[in-house]
Amino acid sequence: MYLSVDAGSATPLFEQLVAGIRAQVIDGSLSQGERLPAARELAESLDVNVHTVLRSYQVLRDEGFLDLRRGRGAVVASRVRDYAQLERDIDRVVAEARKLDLTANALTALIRKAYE
Amino acid sequence: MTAHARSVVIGVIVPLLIALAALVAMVVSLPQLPSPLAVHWGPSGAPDRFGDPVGGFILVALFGLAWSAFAFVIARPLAGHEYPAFNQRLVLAIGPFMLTLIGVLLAGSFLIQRGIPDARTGPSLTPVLITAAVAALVLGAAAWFALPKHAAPAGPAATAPEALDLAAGERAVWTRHVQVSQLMSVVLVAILVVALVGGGIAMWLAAPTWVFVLWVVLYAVIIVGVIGTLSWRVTVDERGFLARSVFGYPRFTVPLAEVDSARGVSASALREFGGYGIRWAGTGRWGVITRSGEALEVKRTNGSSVTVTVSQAATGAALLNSLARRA
Repeated sequence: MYLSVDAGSATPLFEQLVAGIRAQVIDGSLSQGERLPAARELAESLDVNVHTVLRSYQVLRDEGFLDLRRGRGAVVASRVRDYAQLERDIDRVVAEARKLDLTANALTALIRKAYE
Repeated sequence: MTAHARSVVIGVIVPLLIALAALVAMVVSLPQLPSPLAVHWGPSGAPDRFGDPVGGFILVALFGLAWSAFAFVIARPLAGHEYPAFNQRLVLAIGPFMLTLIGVLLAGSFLIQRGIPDARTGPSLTPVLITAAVAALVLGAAAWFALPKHAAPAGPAATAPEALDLAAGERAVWTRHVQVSQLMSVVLVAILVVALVGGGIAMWLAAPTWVFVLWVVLYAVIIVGVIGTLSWRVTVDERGFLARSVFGYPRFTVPLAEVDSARGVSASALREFGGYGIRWAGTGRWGVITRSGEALEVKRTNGSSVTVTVSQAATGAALLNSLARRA
């Protein structure tokens, strides 16, 4: 698992962590059943507060990407699906949006609206 | 003779022949042995337990066969290569040592009882113990020197170390959990148990009680040590490189200031490192080996190195190089 955070970014640290881990589960570089480091270890490695890491682990659990078990720590969830088709679709949507000169924010807003 | 053939002769066939010689000596002395036979000697050197000779035969035969099968497996990856790894050579030399120790001990315990009417008045085992230890050391050393010389195999050709682009304030970590396969754990534990039981029986039958106790204590330490090397967390971050066993220790650390370079390599467990767990491949080359295949090799500025088998090692290597450069 490779993660990087930038304290100077406008995006909150926990969201940066969530995005990094989620992307790796989706692209398959983190596979089912793989053990993530203990929150304390990851916090020390990245020099962030341990509660920041715990919060990102909880968000990922709520999204169904991680299982949090007492004593075993965070494990990539067994119900993780096959995201290959979705990834291809996203590439196509992004390419189309670029063609239409839509910004990332505009595209995100459109997708959010479609969810509602 | 190829290195493989020589290794098989010395590591597999010689131990079998030693076991066979011991068995022949035991059979020949059978008609002259008292019944019951002394099978155990107390700390004073006097016999203190008596029984029939079957246990001795089973022990020597079983140990000879089991060890030779094990040594055969260890020597297999040598086929087509010129040099054994240090660990292979050591394991193969242990065969003649161990079988001589057990063979002389058991055959000796029979031979000294020939023609005695009552085993209780039999002689002390101490001279046999000393003979067995000396003979085992001599044969073990002879086997070591007769085996093909070991050499640290050349690692894969060096490629330019990759690096990542890190922004000035960016903090990054690469971390993975590695462990030996379940099958491997089962095999390892099975080998440990067989060795524990086999060695334990040998000690109980032939050696003074304190040797048996020492054996059990030593073995408990070995088992904890082995389990501690089956599961690891590997981390690259601002502090440098860390490979830490599931118990917290043992661990390998390379602070950023001591990192010369890191790269992804392909490691062969048996060929390069002679096995699994914490391995020493000679000349400052350490390994944390849970399988063959993709591995992260970290070279220190003092020339020594640590290699950990782990997937996506190239990413870890690139991050370590970038952090070391930035530091």
